[in-house]
Amino acid sequence: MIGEWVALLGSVLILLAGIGAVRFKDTFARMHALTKATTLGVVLVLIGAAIHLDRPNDWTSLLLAAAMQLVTSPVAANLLGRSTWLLQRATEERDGAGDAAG
Amino acid sequence: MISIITLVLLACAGACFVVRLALGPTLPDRVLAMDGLIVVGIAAIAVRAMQTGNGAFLPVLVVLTLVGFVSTAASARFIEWRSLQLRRGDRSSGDGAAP
Repeated sequence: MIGEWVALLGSVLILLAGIGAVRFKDTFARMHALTKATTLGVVLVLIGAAIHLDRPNDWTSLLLAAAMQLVTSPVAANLLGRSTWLLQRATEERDGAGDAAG
Repeated sequence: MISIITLVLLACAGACFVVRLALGPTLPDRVLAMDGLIVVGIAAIAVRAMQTGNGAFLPVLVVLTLVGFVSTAASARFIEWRSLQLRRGDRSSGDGAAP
């Protein structure tokens, strides 16, 4: 019962991340909304499933998935944010050069 | 009952990510939406395992997490390479125009 409520809280966080990904105007704002809320939400869902299930064989899989998510999500967000910044800089430079040439 | 509400909320979140995937103006937005869809899939598999009490699909969660990270990292490297190529193309054309 408690596990189901915790999973519901996590899915509410994932839904908030989805609404933020739709409604925010900037790419970095969308990344900000999606990364943090998604990480916390999926970890809460996995914790809820671990509370609800009662076999150690299931706990290890859920613990490993939550640890992987917690470790890899900031790294992926960092890589994507860096590449987004580089792409915006390159696009601005190209547009500025096009305006100067035109 | 609570699990069904959870699955409905996850479906709404997946619809939001699909909207962003369809109309995202740049490539990083689409990569971000794909990451969100993978997260929705992970949460849906966990909720379904909780609903049925059968944990046979739980190792799929680990694989999905790793696949999501590797795909996001590879897409980020691709976007970075493309932006570098864009700048290098500009610079080479500028060098060609300078002399």
